Amino acid sequence: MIDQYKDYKIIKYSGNAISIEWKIQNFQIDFTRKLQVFINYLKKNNDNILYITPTFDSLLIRFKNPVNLNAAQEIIENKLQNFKAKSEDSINARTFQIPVCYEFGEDLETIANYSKLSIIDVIEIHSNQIYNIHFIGFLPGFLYLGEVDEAIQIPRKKTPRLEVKKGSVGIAENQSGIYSSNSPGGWQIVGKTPIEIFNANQNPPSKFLPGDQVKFHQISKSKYAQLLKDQPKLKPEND
Amino acid sequence: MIEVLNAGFYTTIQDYGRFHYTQYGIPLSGAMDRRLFRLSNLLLDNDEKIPAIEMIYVGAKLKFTEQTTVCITSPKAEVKLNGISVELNKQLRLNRNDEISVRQIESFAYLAVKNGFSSEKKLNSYSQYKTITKKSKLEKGDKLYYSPNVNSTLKNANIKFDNSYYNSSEIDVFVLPEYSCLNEFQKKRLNMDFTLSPKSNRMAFQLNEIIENQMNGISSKPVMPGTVQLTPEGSLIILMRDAQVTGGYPRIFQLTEDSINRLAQKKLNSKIKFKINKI
Repeated sequence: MIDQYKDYKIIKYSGNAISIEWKIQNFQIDFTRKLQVFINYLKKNNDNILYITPTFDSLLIRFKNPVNLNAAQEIIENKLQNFKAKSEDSINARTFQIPVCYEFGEDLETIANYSKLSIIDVIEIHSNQIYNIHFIGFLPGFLYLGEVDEAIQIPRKKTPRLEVKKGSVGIAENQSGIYSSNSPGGWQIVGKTPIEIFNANQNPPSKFLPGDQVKFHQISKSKYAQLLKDQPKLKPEND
Repeated sequence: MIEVLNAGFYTTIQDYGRFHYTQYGIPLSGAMDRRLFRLSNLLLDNDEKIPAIEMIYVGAKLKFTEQTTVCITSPKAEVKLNGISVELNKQLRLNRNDEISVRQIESFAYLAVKNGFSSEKKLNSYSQYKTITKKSKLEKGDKLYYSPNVNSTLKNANIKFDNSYYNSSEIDVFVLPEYSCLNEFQKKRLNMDFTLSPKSNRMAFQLNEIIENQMNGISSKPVMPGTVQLTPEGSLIILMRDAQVTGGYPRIFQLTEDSINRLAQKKLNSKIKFKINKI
């Protein structure tokens, strides 16, 4: 696809699916963005693709009809090669400001104790970072964000909560995440956003794509209540 | 309209599922046994893509307020029309205010209505799923509207139902990348019988047996319905239609489409055996 990402393998996943896995040590925003462009390119140039699922280092390509996998492998290989010519293509980084009320941070004290910092420090460190969207999964619309500052990294809770509220912002190891709906979950909760990040009544149901960036900013409880009611449209800063 | 008098254990509206949204973390959903879902529509000469009602174990009791023809498909189930037993897997003519109840299902049944019924469509599918559709399953009192069908001389779709499809305990699979990381003992164990755990649901079927395992998780990778994962505790999980679209457990096998349908219909606690196929 691009010279520095030529270490990949193509896997025959089933009678109607192929997976491409790149050898990448850590999340790389540049690669994630190029992968998004490659996905669009594949979809545009192959009528037999039903859907494509990405993660930060791999793709699953599901075909509409059973295919000759050897032929499909060759076609995909070809597309990877052809795509190389346009390797300077990259989607523009979009950055979204997401308001967070840290007063809902049920686990701030746990994190502060674990990292030997004050709660104010934890909030400061969490909200000062710019996060990359690695991928969307776990729940419809759940954002996986990296990378959490080492100073406030913490493992998931040993016993997951039976219900984490929609909008909750959490930390699990080096990732931060936003719960797109109420769900059982084990992430350590630092706060809550009033903004709906996922809405199945809209198409597409999420404004975010892997490779976009997120900045959190701290808001008060009264501002939280107001934004919850107003639901201002989420717009990227640099659109 | 169809009025839900009793919803049963877990009754949902399903079609082939919701494609094109996996990059937003949205499961594919859709009928657990696509084969019998399809057949329920084909036996009515319907478009095979229109939604049907899926039931498991203890089905629903439904009242049909207008004339129509329905079809209920399942490998095994007890269907009653106004309290009297009727046959499965064929057209069933209904008069105004007829009541249908489906029970003792092994394991999934589909009820299709001639020309379909209206229900909520979200992101190109009628399949019910929490956070996507308003309701995640049918509830007592729900109403589904359909156009009455007074013409009783329906073209008789001539499709033979073959139950033997479901008899085999063999589940056809392809091997996935992390299979090659297993040791000989683990591979040998995978050739033996497994038992379907009662913890199974539309998201995943679990197996009772534990395989000793030292393998850790992997970085999250895309998965599909039919992917078999091995957890660090040594449990095997077979992802089904409502599964997450990515997962961090080692991927061992991928079931064929036919095997997903067959597995869906297995009784809890029944034995299955993986049969490795070459791609």
